[in-house]
Amino acid sequence: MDVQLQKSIFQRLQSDGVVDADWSVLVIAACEGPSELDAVLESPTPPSPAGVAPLEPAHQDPVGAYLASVTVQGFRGIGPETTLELKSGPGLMLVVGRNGSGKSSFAEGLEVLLTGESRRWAGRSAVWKEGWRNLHHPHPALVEVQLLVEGQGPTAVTRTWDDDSPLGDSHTEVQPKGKAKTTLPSLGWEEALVTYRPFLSYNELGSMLDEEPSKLFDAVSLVLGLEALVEMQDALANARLGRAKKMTAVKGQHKAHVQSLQVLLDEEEDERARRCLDALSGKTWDLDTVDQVTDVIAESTEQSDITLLQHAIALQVSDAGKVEAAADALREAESGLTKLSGSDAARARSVAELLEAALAYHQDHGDGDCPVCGNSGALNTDWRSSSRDEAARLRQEAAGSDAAHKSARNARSQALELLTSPPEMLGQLARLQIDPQLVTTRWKEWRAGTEIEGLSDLAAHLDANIGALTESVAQVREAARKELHRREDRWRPVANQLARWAGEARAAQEGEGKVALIKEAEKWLTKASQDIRNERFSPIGEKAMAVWQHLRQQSNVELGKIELIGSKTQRQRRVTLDVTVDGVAGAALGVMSQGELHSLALSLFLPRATLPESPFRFVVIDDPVQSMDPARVDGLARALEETAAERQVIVFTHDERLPEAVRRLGIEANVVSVTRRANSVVELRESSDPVQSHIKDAWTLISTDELSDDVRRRVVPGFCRSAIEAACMEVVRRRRLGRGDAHAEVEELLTVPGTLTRIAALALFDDPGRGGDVMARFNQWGHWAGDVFKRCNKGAHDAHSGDLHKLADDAERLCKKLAGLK
Amino acid sequence: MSGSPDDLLDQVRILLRFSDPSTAGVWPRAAALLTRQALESGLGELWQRRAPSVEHCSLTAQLLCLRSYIDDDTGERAAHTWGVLSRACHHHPYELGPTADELESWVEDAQRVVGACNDG
Repeated sequence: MDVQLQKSIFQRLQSDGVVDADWSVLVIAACEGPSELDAVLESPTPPSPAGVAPLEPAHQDPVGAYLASVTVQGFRGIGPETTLELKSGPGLMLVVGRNGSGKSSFAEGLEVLLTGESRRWAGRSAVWKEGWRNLHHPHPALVEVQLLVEGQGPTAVTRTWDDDSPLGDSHTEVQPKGKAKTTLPSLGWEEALVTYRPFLSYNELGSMLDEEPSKLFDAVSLVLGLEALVEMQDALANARLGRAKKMTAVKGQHKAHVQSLQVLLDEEEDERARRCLDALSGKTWDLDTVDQVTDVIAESTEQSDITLLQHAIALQVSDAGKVEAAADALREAESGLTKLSGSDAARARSVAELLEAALAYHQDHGDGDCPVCGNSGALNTDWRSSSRDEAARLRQEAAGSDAAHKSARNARSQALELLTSPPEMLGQLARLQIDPQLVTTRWKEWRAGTEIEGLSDLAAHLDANIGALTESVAQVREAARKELHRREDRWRPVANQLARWAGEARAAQEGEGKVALIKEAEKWLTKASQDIRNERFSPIGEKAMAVWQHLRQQSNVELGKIELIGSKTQRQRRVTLDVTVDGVAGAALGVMSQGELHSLALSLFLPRATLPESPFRFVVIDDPVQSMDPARVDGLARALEETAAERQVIVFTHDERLPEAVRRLGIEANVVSVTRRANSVVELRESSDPVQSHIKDAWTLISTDELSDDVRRRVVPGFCRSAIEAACMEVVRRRRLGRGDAHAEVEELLTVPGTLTRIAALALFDDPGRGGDVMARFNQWGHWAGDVFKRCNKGAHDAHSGDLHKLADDAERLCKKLAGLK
Repeated sequence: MSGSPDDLLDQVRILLRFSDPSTAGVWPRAAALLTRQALESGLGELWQRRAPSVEHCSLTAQLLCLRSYIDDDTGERAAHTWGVLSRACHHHPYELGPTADELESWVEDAQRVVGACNDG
């Protein structure tokens, strides 16, 4: 965005005292474009307006360009290469030529060269558009302009077409003198060509006010450089509408989701669906619950069916391998005990201790009687050796018995550990249509093993029951898994959609919260835009009124204030022209004549095309004079003169009225006339006033060897006569307009068909009826004057037999005398 | 160059069709003048052969008489062509010279009249 504009928006926020409002940051963000606006809207901590205040702009006018020449070849009415030389710099240049002379081809060529198209072709038929190549000289087609760019020097811009390429398919090249070639876009004129459009044709002038009011608004407002304001308004509106739209969509989807939850629940109760439905049925939606319930890895509550099913799936019974090992251990322990049958470990250990004590005694006291039973000599070496063996055997016997008992205990406790009691949750399975009967029975039977005393009996119990129990548990698990899957299959699609929707709904709710804020920003900006637009437009409006003052002449149409109403986005946008007709306000444009409408359009166009911001120091106007009254042409000449003080103004015109007015009013201008011969050979000539140009033509013919003497004698008198006619008419026009006669009357007087004598009588006596006195008056000036007048009058129909040089000399002399008449 | 009406018309065609820098911009009016003279001398030759007294009448009168000597259609065309040529020969405020296309068609009209006069 244009920094200047951004700055003025910021200042306006400050001067309106709203810079601290929570929405003002949105206005500033909108300056940066829709994405920046979105970023600020989405940001959890919006920046303060002061933090985004724009920088001081470095203001400067763009580099300006003048036209130095336009060269056209094989395009429209121009065949062989023809160059229209233009005087660079401010000034007025008129290019005069009949319709079809090729003059407009220069204007069109220039427009096509720079813009790639011609506005005057818009809406024309394809045949018309295809006829852009010159018939006589179709190849190559080329348009070139020499520009004088301020501070850069000459630059050539060329557009060429390959043979058979359509109008839209061309090559462009920009060649700054002494520098590398570059491209058309590098001139950076693309926008300016639209905004400050330096071309205006008769068609455009006509359509400017004819079309819908909004078109004029667009054409005029473009120049104000306020497109950015429109874009800002669009950005804000889009941000708001986008959010409102999202909310509407989310609300619509809410209905659908509630409905599908209801359907799900009607079919079959589902606690998750129920919770979601409850969460969404209130006035405000409990989106957190929806998030939580729809989450795949969400933990369920204790009593939930899903938990139960998950537990059922996780149901474990003792591992068959462990059970088998436990049964084996029981049986082994049993056989260990059996082997010990009849032995007494305690007694054996006591006897062993007794013997060991006796052996210790014998060790200390040597052979002797038994101190216990008194048998003499019982304790001896033999006894000692047998007793030592016996004590060891007894010790071994006691230890074996201990181990067997221990492993019997271990085996039992291991087995008991495996005999788990049936889990309580089995009973709850019934409500999930999983029959717990069999598994419960089997599990109870299994548990009943704890009551069994005998180890081998216990082992048998384990062996006998584990298979059936494992099978039942597996069945329950499978049933639970199926049930869980079934429920998941019903729920998950709904849940996933719901989860996605909840995310959108949350975002939409957050967005909706900003809508009011955006509305505030929009409201302020709409008003600010209107003010800024009118502020920027006022200099143009004033200039337009000044131009109108020139152009209106005798028009009874008064142009007051010009205002732009509405904004780009509104259908009702229009330019209001405070037009009063004969002092009556509120008159519509409809009462204005075509000439007045054109003048009005021109009044708006000239200021627009000549703003200082425009890089174009030139304005090209094609045929502005059509349908203008003669008096208005004088005004046009004045308006062009003023514009030409600062700009290079190039006007193409198909009649002599504008050049005549320019000459008569003493406006400095270059006039070039354009003629087209056979085969689209276009000729350009600097032209002076008509008297001089006729005389000059006569001299040209006299000195042209290409023409036979007979032809020269036949045509030269005709040119001399035209010069005298023109001289007479200029006298009449100057005299009569000078004393305030109406333009129309003067023109009527001059355009009445008549003889040279009549026009001479008007010039000499201000009376067309005094033709009879003309010769006498001329003869008073000298016989040469009467002679040349007579010869020219007659000679136009005949070959002149006398001296052509003298004829031309005398004609020129007579014209000078005529010009001196008051 | 004899200056017969047919020769004059050929001179006009040369002016119109061959680009020559020396006559740039001058040719439209020159061509109109020559064409009108060709037309007028065509009439003159007819009067000399058929009705010498008419030759000195005004052109308007000559053109009115012409219909009695050649066919009506060509007679009318002669009047019209002479009119437009005369207009082009005079200086008119705000009017530019005729275009090449206009001149071509006037030359052909004049040719037709001259031809009719030769046969008349």
